Amino acid sequence: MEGPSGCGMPSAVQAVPAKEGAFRAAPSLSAEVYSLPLEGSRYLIYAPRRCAAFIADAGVVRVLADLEAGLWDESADPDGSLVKFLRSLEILDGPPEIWPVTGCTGDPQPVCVTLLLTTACNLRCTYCYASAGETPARHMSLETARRGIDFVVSNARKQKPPHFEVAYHGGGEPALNWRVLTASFDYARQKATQTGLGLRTSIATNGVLTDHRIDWIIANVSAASVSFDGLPAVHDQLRVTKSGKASSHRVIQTLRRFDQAHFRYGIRMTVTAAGISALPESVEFICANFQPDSIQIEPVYLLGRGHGEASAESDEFIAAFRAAQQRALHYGRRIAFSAARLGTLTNHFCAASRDSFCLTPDGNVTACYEACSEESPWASLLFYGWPDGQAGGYRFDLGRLNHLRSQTVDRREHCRACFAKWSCGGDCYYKSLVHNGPGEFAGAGRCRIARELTKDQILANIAGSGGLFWHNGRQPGCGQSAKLAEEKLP
Amino acid sequence: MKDEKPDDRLPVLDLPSTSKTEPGLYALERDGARWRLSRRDFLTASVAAAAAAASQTAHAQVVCTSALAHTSAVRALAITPDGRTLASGGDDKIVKFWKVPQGAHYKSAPQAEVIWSSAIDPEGQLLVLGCGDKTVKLCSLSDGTVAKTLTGHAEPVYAVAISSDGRLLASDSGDRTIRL
Repeated sequence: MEGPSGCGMPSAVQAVPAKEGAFRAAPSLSAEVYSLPLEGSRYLIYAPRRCAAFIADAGVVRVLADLEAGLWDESADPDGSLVKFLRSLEILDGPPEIWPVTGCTGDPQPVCVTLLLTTACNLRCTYCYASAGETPARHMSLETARRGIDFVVSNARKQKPPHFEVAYHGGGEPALNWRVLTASFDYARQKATQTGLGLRTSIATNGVLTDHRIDWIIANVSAASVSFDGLPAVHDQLRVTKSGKASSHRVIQTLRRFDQAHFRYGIRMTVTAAGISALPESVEFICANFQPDSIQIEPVYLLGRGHGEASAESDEFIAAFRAAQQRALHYGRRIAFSAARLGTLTNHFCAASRDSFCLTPDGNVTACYEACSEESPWASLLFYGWPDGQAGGYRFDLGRLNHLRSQTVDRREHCRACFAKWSCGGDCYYKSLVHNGPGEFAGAGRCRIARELTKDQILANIAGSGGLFWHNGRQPGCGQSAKLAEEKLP
Repeated sequence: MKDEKPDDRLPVLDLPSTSKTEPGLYALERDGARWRLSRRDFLTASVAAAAAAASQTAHAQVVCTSALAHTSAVRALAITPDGRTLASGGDDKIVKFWKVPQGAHYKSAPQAEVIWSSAIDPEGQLLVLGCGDKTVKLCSLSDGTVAKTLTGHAEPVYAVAISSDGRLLASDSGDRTIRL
């Protein structure tokens, strides 16, 4: 486990027990603490690795800042109640904090394979990050899929996790390579039976599916992520068929069948700059009509056909997201933005820095399912493996892999003093490449969204915990960072 | 949006002159779509925080006990109708019996296979285990011995349930069948 010396924050501080009685020992700051200005000279005090927060005035900020500098003015707390309060939250005189940094070393041994089955697509979404359908279609062969499954099963047999995982994803619509999808699924099940391992499967789909395929997915796949932009009028401007026709009625039919079968699925919404104002109503439309497990909302990615779109990474997006969250709460739901995830303590945003194993139709290994083309300008950074001849298995470029592994928030100077870093994990590496290039990360429009929405979550937690403070330090989610770091975003 | 380098550290704030005043704490309430703040004292807050910490400590101790209970993943838990006995099982192939709420472990019953699921009958006499070897085992709750093994499933048995009159047992397996 690495120490925190690189971040310049006081952590893993040795506890200095205060003595009771006539002489009061100076308290010692024992947490990484941030202060965020609110309205009216109030401050949100947040200790991410304690999962603790409260709202105070500048006097408290001054006391904490003094303590961080090794100064203690006893007159600032004449009755000792402030120190008692801060000790209760383990901000003072607490045990060392956990350092939420994990990473992979050596040869990659993934137990999850993402199969990017095809570049073909039955839609021509105006913002498609993969520009699906614009180039001659490439389809994954069953042999390629089997090789990938064999690799993760072999790893799983050594590591003995409860299950291995096969995820079907795009670069196109995976259901358009139906034969390989179903045959590879059968193969994975057969492997699960042979080895006694469990099998989890998931699919990311545009939801334009035949009845037969919907039924098959319900019967066989563990969970699905369906791209759906909400109000049909919004969806049908953006997610159109090859001939430019509307697709919302087809997606709605899929969602209804999923709901009827109590099938687990999430909805993935993309918001364009022009569509921001409709977001609250779109979220309400979804909440009123469907039963997804999750609703994830992202501003449009300026990649592929989205390159040249007006950015939706704006204050207007944040305001619309907040309004949409209020609508969702009326239905007992919550909406999510991928980089705002209070409760997660990690140095990773996603599995791209944890040996994510995604296979392109040609069988090459990329760390990111969004970087699904070998022609991508960032392919030399994201592709790190290739099929190893006829024998099966893969050969890996460990130099590239180790570079990917190093794309973590604890190594980013830009993020060093950001309160949200341990929950956002540095956000999406691929998008940072597109935004900043391959050099040092210098921030992105998504950062402000993540910070504002994370702040909302902290305030909501304080309000939901009685209004005075939030302290969740001993519950899973704090101190269980290594496990949470495994979390894979859809 | 402008990409400013964030700096939320404590000393960076340009604090107003009021920072030398007595430190103050504020309670947060939602007022429609907005937040409302009202001043509170640290004494009340410290009592509440200490109580919450004590409660979490108690919770953590229970979690700690259960985390040490088995050497690998716990897949199945069942509690007797009188609420006084807990049976746990999982990947280490051992059924363990515990006193509730004390959490005292008083008996172990090794099994041949991973235990995926469990149920206890309404009389509190019979422990039913769904196992990784595709069988359902009926065990005596008093000593954990297997009284009967039911076969027929082609995959591990992931769920078992007993009807409220204790006369019907349902088992659900990875073979996608439910047997009664």
